Amino acid sequence: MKISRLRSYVQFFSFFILIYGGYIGLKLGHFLPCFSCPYVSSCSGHCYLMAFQSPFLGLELNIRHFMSIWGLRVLKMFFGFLVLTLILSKAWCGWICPFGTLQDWIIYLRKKLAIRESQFSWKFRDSLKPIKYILLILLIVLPLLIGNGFLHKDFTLPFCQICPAKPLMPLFEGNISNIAVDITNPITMIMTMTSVVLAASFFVGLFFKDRLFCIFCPTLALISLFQKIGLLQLKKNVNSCRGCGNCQRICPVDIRQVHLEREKENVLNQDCMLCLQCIESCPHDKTLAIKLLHKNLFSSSQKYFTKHYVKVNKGHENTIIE
Amino acid sequence: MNFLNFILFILFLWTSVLYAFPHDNHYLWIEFEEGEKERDGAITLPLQIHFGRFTDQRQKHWRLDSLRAYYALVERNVEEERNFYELPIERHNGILRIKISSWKSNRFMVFVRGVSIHNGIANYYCAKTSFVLFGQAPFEKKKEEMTRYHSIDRKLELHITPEFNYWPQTGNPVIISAAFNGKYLPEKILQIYDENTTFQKLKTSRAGNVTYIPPHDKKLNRKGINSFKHNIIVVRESKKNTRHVFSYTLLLHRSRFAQKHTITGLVLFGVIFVLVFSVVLLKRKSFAL
Repeated sequence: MKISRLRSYVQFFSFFILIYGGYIGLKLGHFLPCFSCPYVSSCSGHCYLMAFQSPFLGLELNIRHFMSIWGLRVLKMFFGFLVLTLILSKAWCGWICPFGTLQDWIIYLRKKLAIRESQFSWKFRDSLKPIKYILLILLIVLPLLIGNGFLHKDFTLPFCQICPAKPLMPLFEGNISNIAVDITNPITMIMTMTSVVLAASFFVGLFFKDRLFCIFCPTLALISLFQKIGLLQLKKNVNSCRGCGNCQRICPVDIRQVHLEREKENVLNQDCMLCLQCIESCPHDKTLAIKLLHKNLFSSSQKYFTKHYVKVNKGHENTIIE
Repeated sequence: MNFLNFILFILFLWTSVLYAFPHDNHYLWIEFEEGEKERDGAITLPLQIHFGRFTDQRQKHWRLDSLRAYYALVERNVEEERNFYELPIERHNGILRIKISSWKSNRFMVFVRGVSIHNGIANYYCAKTSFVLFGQAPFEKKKEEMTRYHSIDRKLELHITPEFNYWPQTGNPVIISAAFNGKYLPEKILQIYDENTTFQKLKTSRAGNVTYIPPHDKKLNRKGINSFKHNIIVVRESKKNTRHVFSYTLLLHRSRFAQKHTITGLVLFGVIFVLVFSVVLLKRKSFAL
């Protein structure tokens, strides 16, 4: 079976388990390294970012409570997140994340309508990279400020309040209540309006640019801090690479380092979501491989490439079909 | 001069009335403070005890005989008779306080009782409130033995349904019923005092209950999401030489949903969608793959 098809099946299954699993009483905890949005009432496991910022399980704590059981609870949540991150690393983004799956479905629709993807220049693409780390820093600083009385309590869960997943994901259970403007006070009004504006902008953006939100995703940034010690690794045999550039062209998040790398074996990039399309599209035997504890799970091969990517035309030159 | 005499006469009349009926409009009530997170994960909730009138006349130096405070743990789905434990009352800066601590998620009911006897009339005051505390300690700390009672004497009582709301908020209806010696009181006047909005009077139905919808409150809306205010519900009943005054403290947060405008949100979403889409259309040269 083609790996990308297998990935689609896994994404579909994960989406339904995470979005509707609550209906069958499934509880997967509050520390999932993916955008399984807690604003979906039937959600079976919660995105770790909510716990990370919250006053009950996360950093919105008074400084004197950190050296107590409340601080331990923050650590416990983080430990849960860390274990899951180490096991599946970036595969959470490419294979499980429901918001990532939604993005892939929108991309599929665009491709079916034969509409070209928007291209960003490398310079522009690189200038966007630090945004997710800035968001991550804000995710640490803002809850601490709220917890210690430096910011109004209505800023609680600052990222969740403006996250595009909050208005969009509950639509899958028929809930439109998060596409609303809350006029309780000026802070709630600004935050909810920002949320709606971002959701609408991303909704359009996701259609024209593959995995647009992943460029800004702070969970991806948090996972990438631990990617070097993760059990899953993307390896490249630099000696057998002929530099065809297929891996760069097919990458949905425009990573060119896999193609350009000439020294290091480990090519798991900070933006990578382990969709494995680079391995699939590599025509050279064992040049790219995904490894679990140094054990090969899947590696590139000419046979696989020819079978899935090359259309054999009798008497004519072969054509690449994707 | 005549005007001054008139003012003095009114003042004399007023003090005479106050002297004759010293606590006629007064009641005992409970006020919540912010819960405190303990180092071991328990949550401690301090409650203030007041006497006088909630909105305009808090008595600073008051004294009631036999002032006692009790709490009961209310187990989920358990209807059997509860045990009541007496709580120590502390005085700090002239304010009386009781503290309740919970190491896990527990539902509490708190009563404070006091008596004053004046001109041969016994005034029985009782204040009640109920709440949930979400303690997170891994185990219960050893604490002093408390005096346990199988019941406490409270002839007049107010019952609120739902009593243990996780997030009581303005705009959410509650059913209030008043009972004397276990019998519901039909067509009984209840007074509801609010920190920020107007005083209300409600009358129980023939069945002895009434639905109350706490009004939304702009002052509360301006505060943070966890802020709260009090509504004090008071009922009075007189029998021969006794007067019973009972108050229930309803803690209220601001409404989480009432101020959400979905239509405005959808319109904003649509406008931004069209705007961004138009920008993309203008910027792109072609759409073909």
